[in-house]
Amino acid sequence: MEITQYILSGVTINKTDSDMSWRLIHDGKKIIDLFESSGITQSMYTIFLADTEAECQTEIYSLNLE
Amino acid sequence: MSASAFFNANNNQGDVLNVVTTSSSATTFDPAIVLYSTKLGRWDFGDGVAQATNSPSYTYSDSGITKNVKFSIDRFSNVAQVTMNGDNIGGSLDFSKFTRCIGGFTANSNPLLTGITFPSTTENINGVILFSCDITGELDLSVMTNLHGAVNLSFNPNLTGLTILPSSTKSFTSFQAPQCDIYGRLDFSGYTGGFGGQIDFSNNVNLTGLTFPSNSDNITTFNLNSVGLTEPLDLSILSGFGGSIQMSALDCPTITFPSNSNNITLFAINANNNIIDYNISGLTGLGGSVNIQGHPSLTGITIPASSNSITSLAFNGNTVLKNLDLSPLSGINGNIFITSSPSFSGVTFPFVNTSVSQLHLNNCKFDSYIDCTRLSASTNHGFYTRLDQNSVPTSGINHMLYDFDNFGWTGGTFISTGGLNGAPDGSSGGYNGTGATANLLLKGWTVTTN
Repeated sequence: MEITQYILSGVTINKTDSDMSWRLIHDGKKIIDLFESSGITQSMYTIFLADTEAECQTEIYSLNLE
Repeated sequence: MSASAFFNANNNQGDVLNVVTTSSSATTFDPAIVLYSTKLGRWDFGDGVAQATNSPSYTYSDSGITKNVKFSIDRFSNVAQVTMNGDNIGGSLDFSKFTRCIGGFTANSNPLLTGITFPSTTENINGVILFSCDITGELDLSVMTNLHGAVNLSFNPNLTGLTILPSSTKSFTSFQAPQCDIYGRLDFSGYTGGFGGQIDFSNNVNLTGLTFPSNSDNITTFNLNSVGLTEPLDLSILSGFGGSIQMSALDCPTITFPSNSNNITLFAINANNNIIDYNISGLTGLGGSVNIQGHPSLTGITIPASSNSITSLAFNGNTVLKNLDLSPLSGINGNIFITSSPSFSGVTFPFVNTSVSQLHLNNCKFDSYIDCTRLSASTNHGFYTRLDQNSVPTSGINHMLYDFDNFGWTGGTFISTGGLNGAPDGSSGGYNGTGATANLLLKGWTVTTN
């Protein structure tokens, strides 16, 4: 699982590959989204990838996300 | 436990109760007999203590012992209300000689109470409340020809029969008997005085037929979940249909709905295996949470011509249902879920002017563009859409992304993965999916495609 970045109109866009994984989307303060997918995800926010939802929950706790 | 209760004298109205002090500590016995006079009855608590009072609060110091408790009043005293809730009453109560009783009977939460005999010469019985007891066998309510008000027989798991009058001109404000074991059928068709409030016969798996009266008032709860109906259920005669409507896990072949309704706050008709068609076109008061799910044979639903505010629509797991025209509905402001319906390929959304928060169309058979433009009247910022495991081609995905971008919504989520769903390619279908995706990303959307 990889996350690549590109710039679109001056905005950094994060992009995943298409492996099945849990995706936690957040802006460093609050959770934007949390879901499991096998598709390519693109977002202007930070994407955290994990095999399990529990790993995402751990990340949520460690970053103290709302 | 010992013998049934009985009345003790021709000139008195009285009763002997079995009060079992079962708690490990002191048990308080606090029944209330309300009279239409200032006269006092006499309670004999069965342990040598007696009080001249109608509503004692007596504490037994021992536990686990049956007391024969007696109450006596003179025959000219009109009883307004009998209340014996949670009083550890065991065996059966015999009120057959309460000939001046013009109130109601409330004896709920007596788990050792197995039977009750009502008076036959009552004047105006307002309510019988016997929930959470252990009324066993047949309960005869028909002796009280003037019974009206609220009847609540809920949670009597050994109550196997209910004898009701063939007709009544009295008004019933609720009739509840869920979680019993009533056999056969109940016919309320002769109840012309009004039937409304909370109607609940849920979880009576041996109740095979129900007939309701034409004169129903404001129904606030209508629950027939897990009733063993084998006959068609005809509710068309009901008026005043509304509130919380639940009819799930029924085996009946058809349900005919009323031609009008009041404000419906919950509509849940799920897992009715034999139903092939629902016509709810008359339920213009449809609103709140609407759930029609888990039907293996359902092929069609006729939607009402208008609706109240709907907070969620769930049409999941209807195996052979192919499409829905939701366009007559108005006021959707919550979630729309149509998932796990492998034959479902078409939906027409209603025009809405409030906010739809989520649209889930996973695991269906969508194979072309899904038109969400009717949802655009609302301000769906943060709109969450999933259509995983479908067959929407690239041109359809392009078109949907273009629409979402065009609506100007911000901060949404669009997830379309799995199955044969396409990925945006920037040109197919005449809509620039790649450009639309880019614009959505800059508006704070999360976009996931194959």
